[in-house]
Amino acid sequence: MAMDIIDYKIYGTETQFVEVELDPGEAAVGEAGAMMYMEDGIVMDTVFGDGSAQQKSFWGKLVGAGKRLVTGESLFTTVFQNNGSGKRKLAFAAPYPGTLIPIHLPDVGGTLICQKDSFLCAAKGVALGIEFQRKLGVGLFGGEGFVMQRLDGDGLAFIHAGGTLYQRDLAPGEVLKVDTGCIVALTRSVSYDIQYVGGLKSALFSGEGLFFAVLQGPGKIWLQSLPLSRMANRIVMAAPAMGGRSSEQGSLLGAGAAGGLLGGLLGDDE
Amino acid sequence: MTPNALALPGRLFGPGLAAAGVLVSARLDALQLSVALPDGQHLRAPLSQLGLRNAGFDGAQVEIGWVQGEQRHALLIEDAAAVARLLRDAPGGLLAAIAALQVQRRTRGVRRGLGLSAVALWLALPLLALLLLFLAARPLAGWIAGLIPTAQERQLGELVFKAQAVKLDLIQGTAANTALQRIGERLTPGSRYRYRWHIARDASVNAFAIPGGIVVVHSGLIAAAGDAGELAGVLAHEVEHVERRHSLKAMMQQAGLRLAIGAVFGDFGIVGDAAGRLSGLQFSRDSEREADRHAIDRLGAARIEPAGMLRLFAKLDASAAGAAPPVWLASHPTTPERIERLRQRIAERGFAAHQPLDIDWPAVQSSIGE
Repeated sequence: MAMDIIDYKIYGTETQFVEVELDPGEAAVGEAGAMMYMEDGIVMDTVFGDGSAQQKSFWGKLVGAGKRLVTGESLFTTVFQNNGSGKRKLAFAAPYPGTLIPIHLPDVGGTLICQKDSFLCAAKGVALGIEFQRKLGVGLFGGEGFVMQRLDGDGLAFIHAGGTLYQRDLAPGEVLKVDTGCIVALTRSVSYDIQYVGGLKSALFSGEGLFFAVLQGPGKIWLQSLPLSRMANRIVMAAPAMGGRSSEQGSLLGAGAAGGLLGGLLGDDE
Repeated sequence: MTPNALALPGRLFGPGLAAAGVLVSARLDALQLSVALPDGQHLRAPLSQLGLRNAGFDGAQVEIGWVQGEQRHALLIEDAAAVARLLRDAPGGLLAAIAALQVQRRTRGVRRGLGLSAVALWLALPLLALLLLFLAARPLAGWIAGLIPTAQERQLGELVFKAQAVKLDLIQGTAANTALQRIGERLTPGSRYRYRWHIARDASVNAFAIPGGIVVVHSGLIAAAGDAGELAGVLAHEVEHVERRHSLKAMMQQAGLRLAIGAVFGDFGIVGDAAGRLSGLQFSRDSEREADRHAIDRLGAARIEPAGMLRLFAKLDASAAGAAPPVWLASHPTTPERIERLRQRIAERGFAAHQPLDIDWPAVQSSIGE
């Protein structure tokens, strides 16, 4: 299956977007709503399913769309095709602060398993599928549920996750314990299991949750430093409507010495 | 090369190799594992050095690992068919390791089955609890009703009667009232309830009991009854409703079930209502049967001829022929069924000498002007 080879450039540092360059006739698939701009000559088409070339039949498309529905994504994929005569550019933007990285699928063995909403865009021909977690414990407590997204093909795919994205190669037998929310992607060769943090005190007060994800090599893994849920949690906690308190505001309004002292003593850790 | 070598396509990981592994073909024979690298070289490891484990994202792959000097290599068998081949045809030297893998895979299967069952059970639990509640509703309602003191029941009855009395056209101070009082007192000696007997002007052949001992008889019933014995039969039935706290139990059951159905299904008004109502009707039919059966005993104890009750039911049956709803939608059992049960009860009980009710029945009937 011929993949479209696309050139790209990533802009920005904390909130990034990727600009891809399409040769005439080339196409890219993107997550609905991720497109930022496109040059004249690029035609947008919304297809049922994942737009990969191998799903020709109606039923194949239906199954593909159904799978996408399971992962919580839209039934349709948007395909951007360059119908112009020269090279044309279009850009996809990340939906929240984080890092955007390109993954050349052949470099990771042709298959990448990633968390449900991390896919941003890919060369046309990359199949977007789902991977069911067969281990009950991992499905229930792994932080990702039973369904992860699977990218198959030999083209380029862009994934995005919160904070800084960290890629790590695990040697055969190497074990890494990871906060369950921080896993973004892994190759199929990595063993994924969960482990109870151990000890009632740790379970209750360490703030790490009840389970670690245990990843064992060989293979590649990608971790995010700041899951969106964690950031959202902090923002909501700090919001005045939820009883949060802004110290700057407190001093401006002159909360009084006692209040200031108490605030300093008991102040937030942020 | 040994003739029965096992060909295994796989992905090789190790120092100096790409982090995502290198696709290789390997051969496993009775002595060693031999991996052909893309550059034409071969890696070899004797069987005794090989370690096996279930590996990969969902544990479906098998990793064959070995250490050579400081270098650790791993061959990952990804293809499901190749994994099956390895598990089936592995050379004798690996039998113990393969058996351990199999056990782990089987355990995982069993654990998953158990886990899924547990999850399914957890989800089905509210439904099971509801079903149990449906089955146990009657005894449960009875038990709860038993906890309510008579004084409170009387207050409740008083409230209900007050609400009803607005709609009722009560007849007072007639010979019928006196007769009703007399029959009632004869039926309820030593009761914990203080009975009050009322006549309401209503042409339908009916009577009803309110918790706490208030019995209301429609004037139509007195007109339809051929003698005082027939009225006594109906009164005995209503007294049983009071003594057995049927209304109170029905209230408890209805309220409890509706609460439970609401808790399980949320505010699915129609389903919950229908289920609650059908169960209420079933309760009502059971209560009627119970009241009928014990009414016969009560008549016997009061030495009143039970045949009067039968005669009245026969009249009811004749007048209401063909209009009855299906059994499961009715609040009362069908009249023929009730007559049959009453007959059986009378037959098995047997009756001693009766003491006739000394009441001038035509005078009673004319006193209410029907």
